[in-house]
Amino acid sequence: MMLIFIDLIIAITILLIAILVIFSKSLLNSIIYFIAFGLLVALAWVRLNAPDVAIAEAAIGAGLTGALFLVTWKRISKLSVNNQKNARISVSTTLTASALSIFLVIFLVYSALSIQSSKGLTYQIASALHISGVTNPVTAVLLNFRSFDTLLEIGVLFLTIVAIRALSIDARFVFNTITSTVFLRAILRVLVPLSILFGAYLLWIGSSEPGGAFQAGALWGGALILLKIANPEWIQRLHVKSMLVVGLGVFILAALLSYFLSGNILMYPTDQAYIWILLIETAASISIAFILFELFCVSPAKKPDEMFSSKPDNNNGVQKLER
Amino acid sequence: MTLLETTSTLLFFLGIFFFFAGSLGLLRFPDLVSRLHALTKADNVGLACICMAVAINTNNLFISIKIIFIWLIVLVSSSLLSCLIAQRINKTVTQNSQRS
Repeated sequence: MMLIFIDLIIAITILLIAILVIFSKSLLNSIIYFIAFGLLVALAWVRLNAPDVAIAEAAIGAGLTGALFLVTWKRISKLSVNNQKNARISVSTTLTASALSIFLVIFLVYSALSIQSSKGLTYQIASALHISGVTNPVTAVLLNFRSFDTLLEIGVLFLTIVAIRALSIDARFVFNTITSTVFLRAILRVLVPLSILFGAYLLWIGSSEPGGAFQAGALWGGALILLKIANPEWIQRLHVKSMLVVGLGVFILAALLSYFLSGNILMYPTDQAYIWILLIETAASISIAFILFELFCVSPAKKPDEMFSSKPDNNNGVQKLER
Repeated sequence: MTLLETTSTLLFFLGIFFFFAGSLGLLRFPDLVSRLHALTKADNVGLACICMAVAINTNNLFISIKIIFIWLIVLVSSSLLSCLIAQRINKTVTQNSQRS
Protein backbone atom coordinates (compact mmCIF):
# COMPACT_ATOMS: atom_id res chain seq x y z
CA MET A 1 0.00 0.00 0.00
CA MET A 2 2.82 2.33 0.98
CA LEU A 3 4.67 1.56 -2.26
CA ILE A 4 1.65 2.33 -4.42
CA PHE A 5 1.43 5.65 -2.64
CA ILE A 6 5.08 6.41 -3.44
CA ASP A 7 4.59 5.38 -7.07
CA LEU A 8 1.59 7.68 -7.33
CA ILE A 9 3.60 10.58 -5.95
CA ILE A 10 6.43 9.92 -8.41
CA ALA A 11 4.05 9.72 -11.36
CA ILE A 12 2.24 12.94 -10.45
CA THR A 13 5.50 14.80 -9.78
CA ILE A 14 6.86 13.74 -13.17
CA LEU A 15 3.78 15.20 -14.83
CA LEU A 16 3.99 18.41 -12.80
CA ILE A 17 7.69 18.89 -13.54
CA ALA A 18 7.06 18.21 -17.23
CA ILE A 19 4.45 20.98 -17.25
CA LEU A 20 6.90 23.28 -15.45
CA VAL A 21 9.57 22.51 -18.08
CA ILE A 22 7.25 23.67 -20.84
CA PHE A 23 5.62 26.67 -19.17
CA SER A 24 8.50 28.03 -17.11
CA LYS A 25 9.07 31.68 -18.01
CA SER A 26 12.85 31.69 -17.91
CA LEU A 27 14.84 29.38 -20.12
CA LEU A 28 17.27 28.60 -17.33
CA ASN A 29 14.46 27.51 -15.00
CA SER A 30 13.16 25.25 -17.77
CA ILE A 31 16.56 23.62 -18.09
CA ILE A 32 16.81 23.04 -14.35
CA TYR A 33 13.33 21.56 -14.27
CA PHE A 34 14.33 19.37 -17.21
CA ILE A 35 17.25 17.98 -15.23
CA ALA A 36 14.96 17.32 -12.29
CA PHE A 37 12.54 15.65 -14.71
CA GLY A 38 15.29 13.32 -15.93
CA LEU A 39 16.19 12.39 -12.37
CA LEU A 40 12.55 11.65 -11.56
CA VAL A 41 12.18 9.48 -14.64
CA ALA A 42 15.27 7.61 -13.47
CA LEU A 43 13.48 7.11 -10.17
CA ALA A 44 10.48 5.72 -12.03
CA TRP A 45 12.77 3.25 -13.80
CA VAL A 46 14.09 2.12 -10.42
CA ARG A 47 10.51 1.50 -9.30
CA LEU A 48 9.93 -0.48 -12.51
CA ASN A 49 12.80 -2.78 -11.51
CA ALA A 50 15.13 -1.57 -14.25
CA PRO A 51 18.14 -0.13 -12.37
CA ASP A 52 20.36 -0.25 -15.49
CA VAL A 53 17.96 1.96 -17.42
CA ALA A 54 17.62 4.22 -14.38
CA ILE A 55 21.36 4.83 -14.22
CA ALA A 56 21.54 5.46 -17.96
CA GLU A 57 18.62 7.89 -17.77
CA ALA A 58 20.16 9.77 -14.84
CA ALA A 59 23.57 9.97 -16.50
CA ILE A 60 22.53 10.71 -20.08
CA GLY A 61 19.01 12.12 -19.80
CA ALA A 62 19.56 14.34 -16.80
CA GLY A 63 23.32 14.75 -16.50
CA LEU A 64 24.71 14.95 -20.01
CA THR A 65 21.72 16.50 -21.76
CA GLY A 66 21.28 18.93 -18.87
CA ALA A 67 24.90 19.98 -19.10
CA LEU A 68 24.61 20.47 -22.87
CA PHE A 69 21.47 22.58 -22.37
CA LEU A 70 23.28 24.69 -19.80
CA VAL A 71 26.22 25.29 -22.15
CA THR A 72 23.78 26.23 -24.93
CA TRP A 73 21.93 28.55 -22.57
CA LYS A 74 25.18 30.26 -21.66
CA ARG A 75 25.93 30.91 -25.32
CA ILE A 76 22.43 32.10 -26.11
CA SER A 77 22.34 34.46 -23.15
CA LYS A 78 25.54 36.06 -24.40
CA LEU A 79 23.92 36.75 -27.77
CA SER A 80 20.84 38.56 -26.51
CA VAL A 81 20.62 41.15 -23.79
CA ASN A 82 17.00 40.32 -22.93
CA ASN A 83 17.81 37.01 -21.36
CA GLN A 84 20.29 38.45 -18.92
CA LYS A 85 17.49 39.85 -16.80
CA ASN A 86 15.91 36.46 -16.35
CA ALA A 87 19.23 34.81 -15.74
CA ARG A 88 18.92 34.72 -11.98
CA ILE A 89 17.74 31.43 -10.56
CA SER A 90 14.82 31.73 -8.20
CA VAL A 91 15.17 30.38 -4.67
CA SER A 92 12.29 27.91 -5.07
CA THR A 93 13.88 26.41 -8.17
CA THR A 94 17.20 25.97 -6.40
CA LEU A 95 15.54 24.33 -3.42
CA THR A 96 13.40 22.00 -5.54
CA ALA A 97 16.31 20.98 -7.72
CA SER A 98 18.75 20.33 -4.89
CA ALA A 99 16.20 18.41 -2.81
CA LEU A 100 15.32 16.23 -5.80
CA SER A 101 18.97 15.64 -6.65
CA ILE A 102 19.90 14.54 -3.13
CA PHE A 103 16.83 12.33 -2.95
CA LEU A 104 17.68 10.73 -6.25
CA VAL A 105 21.38 10.22 -5.66
CA ILE A 106 20.48 8.17 -2.58
CA PHE A 107 18.03 6.12 -4.61
CA LEU A 108 20.49 5.58 -7.45
CA VAL A 109 23.24 4.42 -5.12
CA TYR A 110 20.76 2.05 -3.55
CA SER A 111 19.66 0.70 -6.92
CA ALA A 112 23.21 0.41 -8.23
CA LEU A 113 24.02 -1.75 -5.23
CA SER A 114 20.94 -3.89 -5.83
CA ILE A 115 21.79 -4.85 -9.44
CA GLN A 116 22.12 -8.56 -9.53
CA SER A 117 24.71 -10.07 -11.78
CA SER A 118 22.93 -11.68 -14.67
CA LYS A 119 24.29 -13.96 -17.35
CA GLY A 120 22.95 -11.69 -20.07
CA LEU A 121 21.62 -12.98 -23.35
CA THR A 122 24.79 -14.64 -24.60
CA TYR A 123 23.24 -18.12 -24.64
CA GLN A 124 20.01 -17.05 -26.37
CA ILE A 125 21.97 -15.20 -29.06
CA ALA A 126 24.40 -18.06 -29.62
CA SER A 127 21.56 -20.54 -30.02
CA ALA A 128 19.71 -18.35 -32.53
CA LEU A 129 22.79 -17.25 -34.46
CA HIS A 130 22.30 -19.80 -37.25
CA ILE A 131 19.02 -18.21 -38.37
CA SER A 132 20.37 -14.64 -38.27
CA GLY A 133 22.19 -14.89 -41.61
CA VAL A 134 25.50 -13.70 -40.13
CA THR A 135 28.07 -15.28 -37.82
CA ASN A 136 29.16 -12.21 -35.83
CA PRO A 137 26.87 -12.03 -32.77
CA VAL A 138 27.10 -8.22 -32.57
CA THR A 139 25.92 -7.79 -36.16
CA ALA A 140 23.22 -10.42 -35.56
CA VAL A 141 21.84 -8.39 -32.65
CA LEU A 142 22.19 -4.99 -34.33
CA LEU A 143 20.76 -5.88 -37.72
CA ASN A 144 18.54 -8.87 -37.14
CA PHE A 145 17.31 -9.50 -33.61
CA ARG A 146 17.11 -5.84 -32.58
CA SER A 147 17.23 -4.18 -35.98
CA PHE A 148 14.36 -1.90 -35.01
CA ASP A 149 16.69 -0.17 -32.54
CA THR A 150 19.28 0.33 -35.27
CA LEU A 151 16.59 1.76 -37.56
CA LEU A 152 15.79 4.33 -34.88
CA GLU A 153 19.51 5.06 -34.39
CA ILE A 154 19.91 5.84 -38.09
CA GLY A 155 16.77 7.98 -37.77
CA VAL A 156 18.30 9.94 -34.89
CA LEU A 157 21.48 10.52 -36.91
CA PHE A 158 19.37 11.73 -39.83
CA LEU A 159 17.37 14.10 -37.63
CA THR A 160 20.60 15.49 -36.17
CA ILE A 161 22.01 16.36 -39.56
CA VAL A 162 18.68 17.85 -40.71
CA ALA A 163 18.59 20.07 -37.62
CA ILE A 164 22.22 21.12 -38.05
CA ARG A 165 21.77 21.89 -41.73
CA ALA A 166 18.68 23.91 -40.88
CA LEU A 167 20.68 25.98 -38.40
CA SER A 168 23.34 26.24 -41.15
CA ILE A 169 26.20 27.45 -39.03
CA ASP A 170 28.50 28.36 -41.87
CA ALA A 171 32.07 27.66 -40.95
CA ARG A 172 33.39 26.70 -44.32
CA PHE A 173 36.51 28.72 -43.71
CA VAL A 174 38.03 25.64 -42.11
CA PHE A 175 38.69 24.63 -45.68
CA ASN A 176 39.67 28.08 -46.85
CA THR A 177 42.87 27.95 -44.83
CA ILE A 178 44.00 24.83 -46.65
CA THR A 179 46.00 25.02 -49.83
CA SER A 180 46.32 21.86 -51.81
CA THR A 181 50.09 21.49 -52.00
CA VAL A 182 52.04 18.84 -53.86
CA PHE A 183 52.80 17.11 -50.59
CA LEU A 184 49.13 17.00 -49.58
CA ARG A 185 48.03 15.66 -52.94
CA ALA A 186 50.72 12.98 -52.88
CA ILE A 187 49.59 11.74 -49.46
CA LEU A 188 45.89 11.96 -50.32
CA ARG A 189 46.50 9.86 -53.41
CA VAL A 190 47.55 7.03 -51.10
CA LEU A 191 45.32 7.66 -48.12
CA VAL A 192 41.95 8.22 -49.79
CA PRO A 193 41.77 4.99 -51.82
CA LEU A 194 43.18 3.13 -48.83
CA SER A 195 40.46 4.37 -46.47
CA ILE A 196 37.71 3.71 -49.02
CA LEU A 197 39.02 0.18 -49.56
CA PHE A 198 39.42 -0.48 -45.86
CA GLY A 199 35.93 0.87 -45.17
CA ALA A 200 34.51 -1.53 -47.73
CA TYR A 201 36.46 -4.35 -46.11
CA LEU A 202 35.07 -3.47 -42.67
CA LEU A 203 31.56 -3.41 -44.08
CA TRP A 204 32.04 -6.79 -45.73
CA ILE A 205 33.76 -8.47 -42.78
CA GLY A 206 31.08 -7.15 -40.38
CA SER A 207 29.00 -10.28 -40.92
CA SER A 208 31.60 -12.58 -39.43
CA GLU A 209 34.16 -10.47 -37.53
CA PRO A 210 34.15 -7.15 -35.67
CA GLY A 211 33.29 -4.40 -38.15
CA GLY A 212 30.12 -3.14 -39.78
CA ALA A 213 28.22 -0.11 -41.00
CA PHE A 214 29.24 2.42 -38.36
CA GLN A 215 32.96 1.64 -38.59
CA ALA A 216 32.87 1.68 -42.39
CA GLY A 217 30.88 4.91 -42.36
CA ALA A 218 33.41 6.57 -40.07
CA LEU A 219 36.27 5.66 -42.41
CA TRP A 220 34.41 6.76 -45.52
CA GLY A 221 33.48 10.01 -43.78
CA GLY A 222 37.18 10.62 -43.17
CA ALA A 223 37.93 9.86 -46.81
CA LEU A 224 35.27 12.37 -47.91
CA ILE A 225 36.81 15.10 -45.74
CA LEU A 226 40.22 14.38 -47.30
CA LEU A 227 38.65 14.48 -50.77
CA LYS A 228 37.09 17.83 -49.96
CA ILE A 229 40.52 19.11 -48.97
CA ALA A 230 42.06 17.82 -52.17
CA ASN A 231 39.37 19.14 -54.49
CA PRO A 232 36.56 21.24 -53.01
CA GLU A 233 34.65 21.53 -56.31
CA TRP A 234 34.54 17.85 -57.06
CA ILE A 235 32.61 16.93 -53.93
CA GLN A 236 29.87 19.41 -54.86
CA ARG A 237 28.97 17.18 -57.78
CA LEU A 238 27.99 14.33 -55.49
CA HIS A 239 24.36 14.61 -54.54
CA VAL A 240 24.94 15.01 -50.80
CA LYS A 241 21.27 15.38 -49.86
CA SER A 242 20.23 12.04 -51.32
CA MET A 243 23.28 10.37 -49.78
CA LEU A 244 22.13 11.59 -46.38
CA VAL A 245 18.70 10.04 -46.90
CA VAL A 246 19.63 6.72 -48.49
CA GLY A 247 20.45 4.85 -45.26
CA LEU A 248 17.22 5.68 -43.48
CA GLY A 249 15.28 5.26 -46.75
CA VAL A 250 16.56 1.76 -47.48
CA PHE A 251 16.02 0.76 -43.84
CA ILE A 252 12.40 1.95 -43.87
CA LEU A 253 11.80 0.27 -47.25
CA ALA A 254 13.22 -2.96 -45.82
CA ALA A 255 10.93 -2.61 -42.81
CA LEU A 256 7.87 -2.14 -45.04
CA LEU A 257 8.85 -4.91 -47.43
CA SER A 258 9.51 -7.38 -44.62
CA TYR A 259 6.15 -6.46 -43.10
CA PHE A 260 4.39 -7.44 -46.30
CA LEU A 261 6.50 -10.59 -46.75
CA SER A 262 6.46 -11.99 -43.24
CA GLY A 263 3.91 -9.96 -41.32
CA ASN A 264 6.48 -8.58 -38.93
CA ILE A 265 8.53 -5.40 -39.21
CA LEU A 266 12.17 -6.21 -40.07
CA MET A 267 11.72 -9.97 -39.83
CA TYR A 268 13.65 -11.08 -42.89
CA PRO A 269 13.00 -14.35 -44.72
CA THR A 270 15.45 -16.71 -42.95
CA ASP A 271 17.32 -17.95 -46.01
CA GLN A 272 17.82 -14.44 -47.45
CA ALA A 273 18.72 -12.72 -44.16
CA TYR A 274 22.36 -12.19 -45.18
CA ILE A 275 21.49 -10.30 -48.36
CA TRP A 276 19.00 -8.10 -46.49
CA ILE A 277 21.53 -7.29 -43.77
CA LEU A 278 24.27 -6.52 -46.27
CA LEU A 279 22.02 -4.20 -48.32
CA ILE A 280 20.82 -2.32 -45.25
CA GLU A 281 24.35 -2.03 -43.89
CA THR A 282 25.73 -0.72 -47.18
CA ALA A 283 23.07 1.97 -47.44
CA ALA A 284 23.46 2.84 -43.78
CA SER A 285 27.22 3.21 -43.99
CA ILE A 286 26.93 5.51 -47.03
CA SER A 287 24.57 7.75 -45.07
CA ILE A 288 26.71 7.61 -41.94
CA ALA A 289 29.75 8.64 -43.99
CA PHE A 290 27.97 11.64 -45.48
CA ILE A 291 26.40 12.62 -42.17
CA LEU A 292 29.81 12.66 -40.47
CA PHE A 293 31.23 14.57 -43.43
CA GLU A 294 28.46 17.18 -43.24
CA LEU A 295 28.91 17.45 -39.48
CA PHE A 296 32.57 18.25 -40.05
CA CYS A 297 31.79 20.80 -42.75
CA VAL A 298 29.25 22.79 -40.75
CA SER A 299 30.81 22.54 -37.30
CA PRO A 300 31.82 25.98 -36.07
CA ALA A 301 35.54 26.61 -35.98
CA LYS A 302 37.31 29.00 -33.69
CA LYS A 303 38.24 32.43 -34.91
CA PRO A 304 41.90 32.53 -35.93
CA ASP A 305 42.83 34.88 -33.04
CA GLU A 306 41.29 32.63 -30.43
CA MET A 307 42.93 29.56 -31.84
CA PHE A 308 46.36 31.05 -31.57
CA SER A 309 46.19 32.07 -27.93
CA SER A 310 47.70 29.61 -25.52
CA LYS A 311 45.38 30.09 -22.59
CA PRO A 312 42.51 27.61 -22.33
CA ASP A 313 38.91 28.62 -22.95
CA ASN A 314 37.04 29.95 -19.99
CA ASN A 315 34.01 27.80 -20.73
CA ASN A 316 35.73 24.44 -20.44
CA GLY A 317 37.13 24.19 -23.94
CA VAL A 318 33.73 24.62 -25.57
CA GLN A 319 34.21 26.52 -28.78
CA LYS A 320 32.55 29.85 -29.15
CA LEU A 321 29.71 30.22 -31.58
CA GLU A 322 30.73 31.80 -34.87
CA ARG A 323 28.73 34.87 -35.69
CA MET B 1 63.01 -14.21 -19.79
CA THR B 2 64.36 -14.82 -23.24
CA LEU B 3 66.27 -12.21 -25.21
CA LEU B 4 63.22 -11.48 -27.38
CA GLU B 5 61.00 -10.91 -24.35
CA THR B 6 63.53 -8.56 -22.78
CA THR B 7 63.85 -6.57 -26.01
CA SER B 8 60.08 -6.35 -26.31
CA THR B 9 59.69 -5.14 -22.72
CA LEU B 10 62.44 -2.56 -23.14
CA LEU B 11 60.89 -1.27 -26.38
CA PHE B 12 57.51 -1.11 -24.68
CA PHE B 13 58.82 1.08 -21.85
CA LEU B 14 60.73 3.23 -24.33
CA GLY B 15 57.46 3.73 -26.23
CA ILE B 16 55.62 4.64 -23.05
CA PHE B 17 58.33 7.19 -22.24
CA PHE B 18 57.97 8.85 -25.66
CA PHE B 19 54.17 8.94 -25.39
CA PHE B 20 54.49 10.45 -21.92
CA ALA B 21 56.92 13.10 -23.12
CA GLY B 22 54.68 13.90 -26.10
CA SER B 23 51.58 14.25 -23.94
CA LEU B 24 53.48 16.43 -21.49
CA GLY B 25 54.58 18.65 -24.38
CA LEU B 26 51.01 18.85 -25.72
CA LEU B 27 49.76 19.99 -22.33
CA ARG B 28 52.60 22.26 -21.24
CA PHE B 29 54.07 23.92 -24.35
CA PRO B 30 53.02 27.54 -24.85
CA ASP B 31 51.78 27.65 -28.48
CA LEU B 32 50.43 25.51 -31.27
CA VAL B 33 53.66 25.10 -33.21
CA SER B 34 55.62 23.80 -30.24
CA ARG B 35 52.76 21.51 -29.28
CA LEU B 36 52.61 20.14 -32.80
CA HIS B 37 56.34 19.57 -32.71
CA ALA B 38 56.15 17.67 -29.41
CA LEU B 39 53.24 15.56 -30.55
CA THR B 40 54.51 14.49 -33.95
CA LYS B 41 58.04 13.71 -32.90
CA ALA B 42 57.16 11.86 -29.74
CA ASP B 43 54.11 10.00 -31.00
CA ASN B 44 55.70 8.62 -34.12
CA VAL B 45 58.70 7.24 -32.26
CA GLY B 46 56.55 6.11 -29.33
CA LEU B 47 54.13 4.29 -31.58
CA ALA B 48 57.03 2.73 -33.49
CA CYS B 49 58.53 1.37 -30.27
CA ILE B 50 55.22 -0.05 -29.04
CA CYS B 51 54.40 -1.55 -32.44
CA MET B 52 57.82 -3.21 -32.57
CA ALA B 53 57.41 -4.49 -29.04
CA VAL B 54 54.04 -6.04 -29.91
CA ALA B 55 55.29 -7.36 -33.25
CA ILE B 56 58.16 -9.18 -31.53
CA ASN B 57 55.77 -10.62 -28.99
CA THR B 58 53.22 -12.14 -31.40
CA ASN B 59 55.27 -15.17 -32.59
CA ASN B 60 53.35 -14.90 -35.85
CA LEU B 61 54.97 -13.28 -38.86
CA PHE B 62 51.65 -12.39 -40.54
CA ILE B 63 50.34 -10.55 -37.49
CA SER B 64 53.71 -8.85 -36.99
CA ILE B 65 53.58 -7.49 -40.53
CA LYS B 66 50.02 -6.27 -39.93
CA ILE B 67 51.13 -4.39 -36.82
CA ILE B 68 54.02 -2.78 -38.70
CA PHE B 69 51.47 -1.70 -41.33
CA ILE B 70 49.40 -0.03 -38.61
CA TRP B 71 52.45 2.01 -37.68
CA LEU B 72 53.11 2.98 -41.31
CA ILE B 73 49.50 4.07 -41.90
CA VAL B 74 49.41 6.10 -38.70
CA LEU B 75 52.70 7.68 -39.80
CA VAL B 76 51.21 8.73 -43.16
CA SER B 77 47.98 10.04 -41.67
CA SER B 78 49.66 11.90 -38.83
CA SER B 79 52.06 13.62 -41.23
CA LEU B 80 49.02 14.68 -43.28
CA LEU B 81 47.28 16.04 -40.18
CA SER B 82 50.39 17.89 -39.01
CA CYS B 83 50.70 19.42 -42.45
CA LEU B 84 47.07 20.63 -42.33
CA ILE B 85 47.43 22.07 -38.83
CA ALA B 86 50.72 23.74 -39.76
CA GLN B 87 49.10 25.31 -42.84
CA ARG B 88 46.36 26.73 -40.68
CA ILE B 89 48.85 28.13 -38.20
CA ASN B 90 50.74 29.71 -41.10
CA LYS B 91 47.57 31.33 -42.45
CA THR B 92 46.71 32.65 -39.01
CA VAL B 93 50.15 34.19 -38.54
CA THR B 94 49.95 35.98 -41.90
CA GLN B 95 46.40 37.19 -41.16
CA ASN B 96 47.47 38.50 -37.77
CA SER B 97 50.50 40.31 -39.12
CA GLN B 98 48.41 41.90 -41.88
CA ARG B 99 45.92 43.16 -39.34
CA SER B 100 48.45 44.77 -37.02
